[in-house]
Amino acid sequence: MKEEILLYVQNELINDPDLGALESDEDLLGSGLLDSLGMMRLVGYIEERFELKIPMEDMVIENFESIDTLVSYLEKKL
Amino acid sequence: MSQKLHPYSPALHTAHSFELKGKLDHLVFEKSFDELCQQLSVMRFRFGQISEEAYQEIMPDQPAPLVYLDFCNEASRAKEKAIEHFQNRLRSPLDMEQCVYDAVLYKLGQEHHLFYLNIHHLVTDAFSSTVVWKALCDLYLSHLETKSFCSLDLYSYEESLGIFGSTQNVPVKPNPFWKESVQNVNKNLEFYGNKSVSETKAKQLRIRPGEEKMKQLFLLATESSSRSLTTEMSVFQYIICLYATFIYRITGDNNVTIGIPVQNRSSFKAKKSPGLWAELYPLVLQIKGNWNQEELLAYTKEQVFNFFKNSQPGNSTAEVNANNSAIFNFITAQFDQNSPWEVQSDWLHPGDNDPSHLLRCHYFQMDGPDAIPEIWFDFNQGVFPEESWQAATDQFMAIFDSFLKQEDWTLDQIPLAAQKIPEPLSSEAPQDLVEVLLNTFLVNADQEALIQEGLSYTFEELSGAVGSIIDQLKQSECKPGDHIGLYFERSPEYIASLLACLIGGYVFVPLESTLPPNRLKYILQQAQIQYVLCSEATSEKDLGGVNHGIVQPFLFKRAQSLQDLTCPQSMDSPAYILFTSGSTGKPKGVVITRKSLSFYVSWAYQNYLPGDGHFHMPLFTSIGFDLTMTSVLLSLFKGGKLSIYMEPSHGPDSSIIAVAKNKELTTLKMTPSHLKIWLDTKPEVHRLDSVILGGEELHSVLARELTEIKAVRVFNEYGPTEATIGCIVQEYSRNEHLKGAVPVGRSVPYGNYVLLNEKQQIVPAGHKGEIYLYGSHLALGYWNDSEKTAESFINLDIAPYPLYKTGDFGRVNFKGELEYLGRKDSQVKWNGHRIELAEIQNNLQEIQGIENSEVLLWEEAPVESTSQNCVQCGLPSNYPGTDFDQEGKCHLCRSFEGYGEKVKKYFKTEEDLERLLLSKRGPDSSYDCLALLSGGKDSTYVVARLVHMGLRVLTFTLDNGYISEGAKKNIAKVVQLLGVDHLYGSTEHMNAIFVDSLHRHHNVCNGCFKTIYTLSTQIALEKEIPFIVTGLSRGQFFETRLTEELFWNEEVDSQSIDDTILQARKLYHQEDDAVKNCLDVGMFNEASTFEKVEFVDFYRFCDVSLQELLRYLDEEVGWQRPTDTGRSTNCLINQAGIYVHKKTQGYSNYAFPYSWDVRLGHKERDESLEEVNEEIDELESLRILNEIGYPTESLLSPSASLLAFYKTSTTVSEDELKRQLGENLPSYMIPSKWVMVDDFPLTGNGKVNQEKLISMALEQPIKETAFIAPTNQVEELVSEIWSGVLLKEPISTVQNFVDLGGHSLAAIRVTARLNENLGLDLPLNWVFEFPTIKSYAAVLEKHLEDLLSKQNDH
Repeated sequence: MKEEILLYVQNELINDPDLGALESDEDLLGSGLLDSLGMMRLVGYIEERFELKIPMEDMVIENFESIDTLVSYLEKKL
Repeated sequence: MSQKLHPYSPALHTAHSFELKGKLDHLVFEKSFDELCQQLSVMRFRFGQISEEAYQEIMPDQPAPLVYLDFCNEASRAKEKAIEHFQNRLRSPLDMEQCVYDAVLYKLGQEHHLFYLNIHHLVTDAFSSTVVWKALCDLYLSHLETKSFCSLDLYSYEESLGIFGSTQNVPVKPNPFWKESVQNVNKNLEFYGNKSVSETKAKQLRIRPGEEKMKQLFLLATESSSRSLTTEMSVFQYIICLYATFIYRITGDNNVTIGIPVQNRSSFKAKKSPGLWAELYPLVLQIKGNWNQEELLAYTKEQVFNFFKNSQPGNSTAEVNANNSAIFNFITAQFDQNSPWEVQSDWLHPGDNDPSHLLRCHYFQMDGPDAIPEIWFDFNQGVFPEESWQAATDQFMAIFDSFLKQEDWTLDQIPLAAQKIPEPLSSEAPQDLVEVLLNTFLVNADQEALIQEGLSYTFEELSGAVGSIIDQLKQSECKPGDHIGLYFERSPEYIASLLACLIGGYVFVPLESTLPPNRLKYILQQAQIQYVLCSEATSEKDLGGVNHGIVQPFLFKRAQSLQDLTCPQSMDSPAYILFTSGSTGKPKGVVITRKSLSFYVSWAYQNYLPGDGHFHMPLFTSIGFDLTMTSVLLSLFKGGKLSIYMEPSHGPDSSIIAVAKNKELTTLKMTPSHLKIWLDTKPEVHRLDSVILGGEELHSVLARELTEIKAVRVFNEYGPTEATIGCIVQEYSRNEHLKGAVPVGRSVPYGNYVLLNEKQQIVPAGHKGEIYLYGSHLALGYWNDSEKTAESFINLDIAPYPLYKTGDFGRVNFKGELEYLGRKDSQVKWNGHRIELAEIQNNLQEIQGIENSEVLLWEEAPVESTSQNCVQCGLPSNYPGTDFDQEGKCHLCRSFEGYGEKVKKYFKTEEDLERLLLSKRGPDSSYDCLALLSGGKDSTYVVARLVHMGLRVLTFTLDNGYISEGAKKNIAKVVQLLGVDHLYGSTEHMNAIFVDSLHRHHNVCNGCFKTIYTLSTQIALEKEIPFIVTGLSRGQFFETRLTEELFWNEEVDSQSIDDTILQARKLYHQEDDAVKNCLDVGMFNEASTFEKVEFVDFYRFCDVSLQELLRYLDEEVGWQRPTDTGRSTNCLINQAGIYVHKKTQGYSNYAFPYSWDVRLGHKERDESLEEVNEEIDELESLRILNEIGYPTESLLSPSASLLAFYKTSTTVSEDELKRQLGENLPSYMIPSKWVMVDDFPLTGNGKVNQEKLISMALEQPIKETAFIAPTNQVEELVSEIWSGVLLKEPISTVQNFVDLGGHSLAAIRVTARLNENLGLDLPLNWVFEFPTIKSYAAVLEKHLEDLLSKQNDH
């Protein structure tokens, strides 16, 4: 799961080979790797890929800070 | 596309100006710009069109250089001049076939420049503009440093769109979320009640809430419990909440749809690609007025998430981004601050917008992270008049502020207007009307006062009559304050009586001579009338025992001075009681004081006084109408003249025509309906000074027409009887009131009005609300009806006076004039839409050729339920065309007595059946027949009998999706018990077929039958099975195949009946319904199909009683009727069909076939009635109907239609009217039925008589096309027979048989009746080949002529 999300973010959302590989603990938003739109698209991807609906109250930055936090959130959910 | 639609509009210009301070080498700047164009392909695009094909291409070279202009000579005005210069350029459209940009560098002074760059929106968006600016700066800097240009680290638009736009692996797929959103988009947002008008002019207003407020907003947005993932998103959704609330409040519409351009650059490379990436998507919010801020935010958060999750590059289609009348633009792209200069940028508004955008809101923060964001609005000038701009932004800020204050309110409660009602203007006590009149009698004694048909009376004569009447009242022991009925024709006697009451202190109650007797009695009683003054003629009517006295004309010859009289009653006591028809039920008596009347008359006198100082008005409208009071009192008030036109005792009152011929009149008071007639009669306007209109809405077209005859003053007066004749008035202006209704204007000074919403709060400027009146003009209430008085004259906290609730809607336009928006009851709800009838009418009125129109909603009375059933067969009395005789026997039973014996000859025996079914058995055939098996007792019996005959049977069942589980089990059991093969057929189109069948036949069975016939025929053809055996009951034969007419011949020839049925069946499959459109019915075009596969009705050959049938199934087959399936059906949707039929037709669709079962002796009457009356589960039926997509709203509310009545002198067609109306109104506001009338019937008060109109529409079937009557004998004959069968009368000879509801059975009946009548054998299909009376009659006539000439030849 982690690998899959990592690849999606790296290839589909960031999409800049010059930036090198994405680390799973990198701060996605804070580092500017993703912007608001990218975050929204990530949510859309997660919901579709893992066939779940993230409740509104879980849509907080703590769950989406990095690939790691996202994965640990999802592990709790799935 | 928008640019093509509005080629001369610069709506899509994306322009910025950059004020540059610091050293600038203009040659390097120019070269940098050239280089920019060379490196960025977006700058070299061009767009064009060759014939109809649009094309775009990238040119190899820079299309146009930067223009350099030195404005230094202008010195201190340089900047101003430069701005003026580029504003002009901005307003002229770019030539997209040459170049997509326009760039100018202005030198304003030493180290002071202004750079103007306008790029067409087709190749740029806000983000792209920042990319381009940064690129230009980079090039300039690199050249300064190295004398050569750097290579820009950017990607070209054309390649990047494909690569970074969509996700690489997943192609953009149509998104169901947008599909659904599009369905919910609100296409009809009406800002301040204004409809969209195509207009590209737009005004931009920029709101700068300032640092403090914006910081507070940031804080609230990001600390809310509903904050979003990112700060930016939190702010975004917060502003959306403000904007949506604003839209909700100024449209009153719960569905707030906001079009939002999404800057679809999420990847890094996309961010390095200039060009148009933004795509527009609709955000559909369903706002609830009782939400508080938290609830709105929580809801919005979810909607915004769904919105962004589903916006992917390339998936906004034309469909998705159409119809966004409100736009929100969240612009956070920022111009790079790292430039060689100190930069002040500005996004330039071209003064034009995409005309479909009525309101745009921009959250704007392009000037770097430290800049304070601003909120800008673009107001489309077609919807927002100039006067509204400030009010609208103030209202937005009122919402903004109340959000920030975090007060405890719901969205509906946010105050947009001060909740304090304005004081009435001056209310100086008026001069007493009686005093003025008494003085007038004295001063003008010799002057002519009343004129009637050559007779005339001076004021002196009039005062003689008045004095005598006062004496008469006194002698009749009437006391001041008593209620006196004035029961008169329009006559001098009436005027004298009215004045006598006023002066003598009696309360008068006008009773017009045409009052229906019951109404007269009601009023006499309700108003507690002590005495009636009447004329010779009216005295003969039944006055219910009330004392009366006749006022004789000779009273005018009595000398009697009024000099010493004074009114014994105070000004605050009632002067008259006028009965107005309540919209529901009984008339109400409005009690008006002398003070109110005095106020009105002296105000009206000042306002309407003709230039020469003397009124001369006609009395020609009903005396029971308060509009008439103006004519009477105004003309006599200070010595004018009144011309009296008496109404005829019988027939229509055409006094208005005589009025039009009177050259002496100075002033007219009438309704707009009267005005139309008046205008038609070439009126004499020699002395005419002014026309006062009241009682109905005044359309500007009509007012214009009037002023074209003579430039008279035209007043539009509004005023319910309860506010004394007229209380809000507007003088018409040819220059200002160009379209729509003329406003009703401003209040009289002695009263005022306020507009309240449903919650009785004051509506903000520009908003629609109900008109409430207050002040010295208000009635005391309704006589003898404290309940209605309390309902209409109410006390609210916001006002220290009682307010009269008018039931009328209005809006104050931004000029401060009240616009009348129709009565509360003219706002109707139709098919879920709120519709203003007045609005449709106003639009209709604008169409060329329409002289007059009226739009009404007609609600059909609910269908009558069965009141009686035929004593013999049980047929319900509301079956169309049913006629019971004295014994309660229906017409079908009666006529059946005449041919019942013959019908028996149609039926055959089981032996005949066996012979028939074996007749085609071939050596290789596998099955003898295909039997239709529903799983019920009748079809199970059929299959059992067929098997017992030794036939090889294939059984077939249509699985329509609603076959009960029990029935399926049962089918499996039967099939197993009998050892037959079985097939299920099905189609994915079943629901469409059901819905179509419900629309056509009000049941589901017809659609289902036809599907069964179609699918089983396919199978039979495929498997070469020669017969299909049905289990139709004998009663059902008469529902679907047989008609009485077939048995009219002396000798019943069953072969010829079968031929006719077969012909009908061929036509049946040609009918253009859902089955034909959804299923493969090609085989029915082949004549051979009907030979290869024959339909055989089992029960034609078998006459078995129910008892015997059940015994046989039980004993011989071992089958028991399942008990769990409830009624006689195995099909769950059946009851939904019955439900619809009962709801729309008033009786069950089984009533007719069952009546035939009874008639033919197959069922008992009671048994049949019991089944027919079986209770239907309404909830379950509605659930199923919703499931298949049948609109159930119409079942739950009585069906209604919008009727348009119009008068036209041209030949404008109905379609043309619909089309033109469709240009301004949404489709749901287009009337469905149109009736052309020669003249509009009026009520006694001169208003359009709506009841009469509706009955006119009902009497003559609504003419879809002009009615054309039969022109010869043959047409008459055909017409008569069609009417008899189709139960419609009269039928225009050019109307289509199918459009009239004709189908194949009706064709049999029509043909059979003609054949009977003419002794001929006409083919059935003529009815469909020549589907109008005219064409049918023509071919029939030809046929008759041929026959005749043949006979002659012999």
